Amino acid sequence: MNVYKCLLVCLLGIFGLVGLPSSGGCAPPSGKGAESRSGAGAATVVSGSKESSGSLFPCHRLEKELRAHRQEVSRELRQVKRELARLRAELAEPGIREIMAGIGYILGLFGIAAFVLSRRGTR
Amino acid sequence: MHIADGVIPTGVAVGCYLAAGGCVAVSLRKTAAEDLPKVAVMTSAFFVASLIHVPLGPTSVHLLLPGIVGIFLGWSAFLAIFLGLLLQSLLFQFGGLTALGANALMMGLPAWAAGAVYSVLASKGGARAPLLGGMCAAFAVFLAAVFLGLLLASSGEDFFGVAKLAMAAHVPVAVIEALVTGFVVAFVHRVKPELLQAGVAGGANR
Repeated sequence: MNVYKCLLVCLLGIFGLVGLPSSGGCAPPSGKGAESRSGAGAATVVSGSKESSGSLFPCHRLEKELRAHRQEVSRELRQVKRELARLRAELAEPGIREIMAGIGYILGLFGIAAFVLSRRGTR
Repeated sequence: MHIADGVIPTGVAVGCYLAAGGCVAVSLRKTAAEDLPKVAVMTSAFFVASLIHVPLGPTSVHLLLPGIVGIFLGWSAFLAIFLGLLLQSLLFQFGGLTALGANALMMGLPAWAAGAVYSVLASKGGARAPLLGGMCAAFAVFLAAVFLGLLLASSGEDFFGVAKLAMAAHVPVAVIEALVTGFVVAFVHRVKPELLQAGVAGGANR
């Protein structure tokens, strides 16, 4: 008797697994949407989809994966933002181009002055 | 040590511009044509020096070089510093165009002072040239800190507090600058001593 019960549960589980993407496929995304909108609402949505699909395992795993994924993405985003800030700070300080331009200006200005003075001196 | 835009009141900024303009005119008048290459080189050195940051504990300081410019250029030092600061504010956004006069006075007058002290003491021949140069450089840095305090006092800060703070912050700069200037003066003194004699005294004779 017990064996039959087990088999039934297993079958239900398999059906649940297979059936989820096709029939209950919209449940996890909607659950994710609710989760991203409000953390408190996520739990109720997940429990509701659990009842409808009849299996507890896949939705739980999906939610876990989604959460992990979101964490990973936000971590990467933080890294990118940090990198961006560093780059901006680096761009703000003068580089070799500005230095060379400045030296060029100085030598050019003094060159012009020397040229003018030399012309005035020869006349 | 740069004063940024909008820190000092407009009246003071305009006054500083006028004073700096007068100093530049004097400096131009005292600059001989044959000294122009030397002035150009020292201007470039001054222009670049503020970019060399020396890490020091939690913060970093950069060289100022008013002393060495004054020692080498004498009267022309103000012109060199004014030009260097102008290009720094245009290209690097150091300081600001409205505060350029104040910045020029703050760095240029100590340069003149250092040059004058150096040429007077060197002509007496009391101390050795490198030591004297180093001392003049440190003196110029402290004088610049005093000027900074004076200028900021015009914007309502209390003078002694700012001057003391600026001096304390620039003790390491003064030490480093004294060392650098000492080495440079020692080298030039050995290799080409006539470069050093065309200081304020030499410029005034022309």
